[in-house]
Formats: sequence, C-alpha cells, structure tokens
Amino acid sequence: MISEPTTETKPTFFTDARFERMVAILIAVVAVLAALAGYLQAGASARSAQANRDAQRFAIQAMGRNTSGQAQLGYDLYDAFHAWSQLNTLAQSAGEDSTTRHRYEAVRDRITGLSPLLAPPYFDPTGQTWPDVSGYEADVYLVEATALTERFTASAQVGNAWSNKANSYVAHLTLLAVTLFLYGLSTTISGRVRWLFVIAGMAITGVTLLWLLLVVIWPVPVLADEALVAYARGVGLAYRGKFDEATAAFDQALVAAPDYANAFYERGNAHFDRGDYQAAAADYEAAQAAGRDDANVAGNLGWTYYLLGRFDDAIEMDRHALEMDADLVGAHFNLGLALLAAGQIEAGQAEYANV
Amino acid sequence: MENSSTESSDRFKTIIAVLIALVTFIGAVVAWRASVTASSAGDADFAGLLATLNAEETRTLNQATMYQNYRAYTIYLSHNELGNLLAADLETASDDEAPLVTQQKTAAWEQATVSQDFFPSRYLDRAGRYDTQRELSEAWAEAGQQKDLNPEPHFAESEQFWVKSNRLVGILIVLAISLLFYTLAEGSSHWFKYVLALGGTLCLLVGVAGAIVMELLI
Repeated sequence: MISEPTTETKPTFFTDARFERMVAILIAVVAVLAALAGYLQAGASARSAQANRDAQRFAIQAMGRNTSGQAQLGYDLYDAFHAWSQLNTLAQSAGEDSTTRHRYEAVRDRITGLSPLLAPPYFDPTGQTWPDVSGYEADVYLVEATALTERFTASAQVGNAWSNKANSYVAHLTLLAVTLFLYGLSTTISGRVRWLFVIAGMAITGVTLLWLLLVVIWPVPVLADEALVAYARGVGLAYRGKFDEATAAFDQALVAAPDYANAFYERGNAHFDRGDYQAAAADYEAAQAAGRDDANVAGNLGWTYYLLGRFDDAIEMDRHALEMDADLVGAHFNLGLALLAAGQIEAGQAEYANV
Repeated sequence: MENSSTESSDRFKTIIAVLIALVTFIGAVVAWRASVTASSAGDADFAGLLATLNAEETRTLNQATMYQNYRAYTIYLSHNELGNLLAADLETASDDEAPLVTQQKTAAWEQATVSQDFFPSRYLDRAGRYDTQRELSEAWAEAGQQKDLNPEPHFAESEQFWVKSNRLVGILIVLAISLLFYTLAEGSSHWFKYVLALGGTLCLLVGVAGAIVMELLI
C-alpha cells in the first residue's frame, strides 16, 4: 500500500470564529466613536444655529436702532432747533422793540423744552450758535447701534467657526462609515488579504480619532463683551472728535481682546485724525494681521504710507486695495499720486486716465 | 452535560442578539426624537426672529409717526404761545398798537388751529404738553394685539429644545457602549460574558431612562 503524503497544518490563533469575533468588537468600538462624533456634530450644529440666530437678531436690532436714531435726530435738529433758530433770529431782529423781542424769546424758550438737543450738555445758547450734534448722535443711537453691529459680526464669526467644526465631524462620520465597510468586507474574505482591510480600517480609525481630537480642542473665537463695549464707546468718542479719549477706549478694547481687528482699524483712524501717521500705519498693519484685510484698511494704509513718504509701499498697498475693490475711486487717485511722487510719471498719468 | 452546556451557550447568544437588536431599535427611536426636537428648536428660532423683526419694524414706524406728529405740535406750540403772549400784550397796548397786535394775535392763533389738525390732540395733557411716551406706548400696545412683538419666549423655548436634542444625542453614546458590551459578551465563552452582558444591560437601562426623563422634563 502506498500511503498518501500528509501535510501538517499549522494551528493558527486566529481561527475564522476568533477573527469574526475580533472584527465584531472593532465594529462595536467604531460604533461608539461614531456615536461620539455624532454627539459632537449635533452640538456644534446647534451652537452654529444659535450663533447665527443671534447674529440675525443683532443685525435687525442695529438697523432698527440706526433708523429710529436718525428719525429722532431729524426732528431734534431740523424741526426743534430750526424753530428755535428762527425765533432767536426774530428776537434779535426786533432791535429796540423790547416787547416784541421778549415775546419771541419767550416762545423760543418754550421750544427749548421740546428737545434734549437744545439743552446742556449739547447746547448752551449763551456760548454756542450750533448744538453738539455729533455728541447727541453718539449718545442717542450711534454707540448702541455700533455695539449691536459688533455683536452681529462676533456672533456670525462664532456661527461660522461652529459650522466648520460641524462639517469636520461629518467628515469624521464618513470616514468611520468607510471603516465599518472595510471591517464588514474583511469578514467575507478568507486568507491574509482580510487583514489588509482590518489594518486599513484601524489606520483610518486612528487618523480619524486624532483629527477629531484636534477639532474638539481647536478654539472658537469669542469676542469679550467688555472689548465690544469699549470699542463702541471709542467709536462714539471718535465721532465727536475726542480722539485722545477714543484712543484710550480702543486701548481698553485691545487689552480685553488683543486680536480685535476692528479696534486696531478704528484706533488707526483716530491716530490718523490726530496727525500721528506712524501710529496710524502701525495700527492699520495690525488690523490686517488680525484678519481685517479689506479695501478700506488697505486704502487707508496706502494713503498713510504716502503721507509718510513711503511711496513704494503706498503703490503696493493701493494696488492691493484695488484688487479687492476695483471701483474704489479714492484708491485710484491715491495710486496715481503715489506713482507720480515715486517718479513713475507715465504710470501715474495712466492711472488718472483710467479713473 | 455537553449538550446542556451547548444549549445554554446558544440560548445566551440568542438573548444577546435580541438585546443588540433592541439597542439598535431604541437608538433609532432616540435619534428620531433628537431630530424632531432639533427641528422644533429651529422653528422656535424662526418665530423669535420674526418677532424681533416685528418689534423693530413697529418701534421704527411708531417713532417716525410720533415725530411727524411732534413736528406739527412744535409748529402749533410756537404759534399758540405767540398768540397767548400777544393777547397778554394787548391788555397794555396803546390805541395805536392795539389793531396790529390784535391782527398778529388772530393770525398766530389761526395758524395754531390749522396745525392742530396735523397731530392727535388726545396726547396733549392739561398743561398743553405733548405726551410722546403715551403715544408710543399706545401704538406699541395696539400693534401687540395684531403681531408677535416679544421674541424672548421663543428664544428661551429654542434653548430648551437644543439642550434636549443634544442630550438625546448624548444618550446614543450610552447605547453604543451598551452595544460594545453585548458584542464583547457574545464573543466570549468565559463566565465573564455574564458580567459584560450585565454591563450592557445597565447601559441600556440608563439610556432608556435618560431618554424618558428628557421627553418628560422638557
């Protein structure tokens, strides 16, 4: 009898049953991670929706405040003060006729009680011919409307940040779904190839977990209310021409929020109006570095560079402004002027011709 | 003995399989409720924003109307006061001045009367002052009968719904952990599988209890 040669099979630790059990456990672990990612995604979506809702609310309120404020100022200046001025003029025109003069002065003084614009601290008839309209505007609606507008911007930024996080979590869920697919596929294949799918799935899970942790710890930009209030106060003070006090208010805003781009920009404007062009340029540059790189900032910086004699920088910045807004007429004029000052006569002429 | 052990093991696996199916079903229900609650939160946000828009629109229009009336009152006040002062001066006016003062007085009062047609006189108090706050308050109350002007209750309701939705989604994590325990128990042949099954069941019960509490409380 010839006996058939026998081949010995090595005993393996991972039998089919053990392999399937391992894959089932891996699938369950991924399910837990997917539930966690789903929870984070739902939370981020909710916060994004809330922040965007707040942004819309602040935008509506800011518009309402501006409109109401303008209506109030319209009456106070063009009706109450106008009537006061007319009566005051009639009283002064009465000359020697004291009876008529007193009559008009009495009516004029009744009008004074109709509007806070006609009383201190905005108006003192003995020393002023015109009330402090900008101060009145700032107190009545400008500061409040500015604060609401800033709250709108801050909320919109927060909403955007949370939305980005939510979108990242969706990507994580998609990757975990791919992992589940690979694990499931591995159970339908025999041999060493099935390990390829398991290892690929584990690698994707590991990368996804790291990415998820990174997204979780990534900070959401939140503007401190203290900074916002100080900024709005600064805008009001600058509007009234009180540039030193405005600068101090913007300094306070930047202490509370060191990356507050709008505060840098407005402080730059205050420095500019005071004639401190070096400080203005530094603040405009800081505003750009803090994320506010728009045509207004670039245009103001370009003009400041020109005033500082930095013509090449002025040309570059004006061109940068025009890249963002080609219709900015002021930037065209500034560019033409800077080109002429830098000795590029033909280019300067061409720029003026373009306008 | 072997048959008994095998039957027991099969029965255990069957029970675990049923529990896994139960966890999956409950997870689907919880996910559905979380979605419905999130949708309710969105509806409340919309209602709140609509109320905000109504409130600002009402406030702005009321102010515009009020200043329109106040403008007319200002003109009325000027002429009326002038007329009153001229009437007082008439008592001490000479015979030569009297006709002119009378004419001026009459003209001033007539102009005041004309101006009175351009604002609601019901907002004049006894001293002849125009009550702007009363006009604004009445207009606000009247608008409030026709439109929703208060967004805060809607936003508060929305916050509650978002909290509930997030917590329901959080319960899915507990259910997923329960699933993990059951999977480990199914794959184990050691006595420890009963401990794992118990852990999974505890997580399941906590998840169900949490979902019921969320539904009842909020």
